[in-house]
Amino acid sequence: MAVFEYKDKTYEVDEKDYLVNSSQWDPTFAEGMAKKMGTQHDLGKDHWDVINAIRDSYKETGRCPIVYEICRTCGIRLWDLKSLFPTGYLRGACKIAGITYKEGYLGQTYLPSTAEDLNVISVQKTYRVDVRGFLVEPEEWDEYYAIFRAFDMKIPGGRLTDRHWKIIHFLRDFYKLNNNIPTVYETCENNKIDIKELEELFPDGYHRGAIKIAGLRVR
Amino acid sequence: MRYFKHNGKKYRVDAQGFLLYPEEWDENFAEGMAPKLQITDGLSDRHWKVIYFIRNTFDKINSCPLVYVACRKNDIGLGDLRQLFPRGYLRGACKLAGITYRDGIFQERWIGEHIVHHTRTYEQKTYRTDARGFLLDPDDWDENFAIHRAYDLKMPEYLTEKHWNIIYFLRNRFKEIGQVPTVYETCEANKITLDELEGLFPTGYHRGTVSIAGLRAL
Repeated sequence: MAVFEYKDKTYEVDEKDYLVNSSQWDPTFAEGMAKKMGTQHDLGKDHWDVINAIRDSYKETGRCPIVYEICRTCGIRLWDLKSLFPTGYLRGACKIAGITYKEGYLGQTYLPSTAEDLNVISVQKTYRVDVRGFLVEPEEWDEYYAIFRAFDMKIPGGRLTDRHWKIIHFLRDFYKLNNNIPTVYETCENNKIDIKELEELFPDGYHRGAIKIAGLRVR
Repeated sequence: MRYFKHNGKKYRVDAQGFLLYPEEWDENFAEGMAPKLQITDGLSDRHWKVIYFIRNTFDKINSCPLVYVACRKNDIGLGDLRQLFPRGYLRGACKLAGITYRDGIFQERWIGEHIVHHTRTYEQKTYRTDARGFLLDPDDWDENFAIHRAYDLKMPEYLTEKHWNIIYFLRNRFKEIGQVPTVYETCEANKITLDELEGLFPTGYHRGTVSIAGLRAL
């Protein structure tokens, strides 16, 4: 693990100098990183407005705000942002604020109890998918794959609940046992739900929703 | 090429017996396939109703209807569907109807001139991604990936010329300078405001545009 040092303080960073643990962030980090990135002047009020907006938004929503949102919140235009953070939004403002799209992103509530820190995992992991995003190898599945597919699908309520996980794990266990994907009949019957409840849980479909999130594929 | 034969007619199918080209479908195909799908007493009116519902819906919306919709619109429960098609919805009803989720979805306008895929070779292609769906190797990218990624991100519309211009800009710039252009550069070079970019890629610059272009800044 690389470290970044500034004014007697030490921060854990990745190989591109991004802060690894956003809770380690403090204003000293921001000042030091801005210097390292070649900002000519010290951070001024306009910089801090943006940095604080990113951090506040993250605290509130659990995800890194999109560049559109930050420009609106701070009432600035893109070229204002550019003069403040010339290396980019993600690679400038967010980096200094110690938060990127890799932090939170999904909100804590998305995570299953068994999941470890989001930062630790999956960043390095590779998944082989077909053009529709279905896993090619069911063995490559993990809960992060499930979480992110559910996020892409905009699952209602914004997170996978215990009821979702029960079905996802049913699908995977069934597949392991029988080397075959259960039909929608078997899945509903075994989980004692009717098709309406299944639709509420996975509105994108049984195959295109539940099966996909479970890392399986019929054809 | 595999064929399924019935009553002297030949149909092109995949390894699992799914019809490859929905336009080759006819009732003879369904009748021939039914006994292989645990339907022993032939196809009744109730079978045909569901089969034609799937086909007619596909004709209308160019997408295979979800099992939820099929049950609702035909006023049947899952138990009824099971009686009719014991092998499943996709593997029973849809298979007989010659239409699955792989058919359609993308209207011509989505695809425009950017697609070459009538051979369906891209069905076999594998893309390596991270957990968030970002491509790990930009060289894995192709237009099919972009279209499906945009669809997965629930983009409000199809990819228009404006979208493609920006996607190709990102890819070309990446090839030239070895890194993803900033949002500033992209807006300037394409002469669009941030608001317009948001209109085109509402899920974000990095999480939308860059991801669809098969790139990743970090």
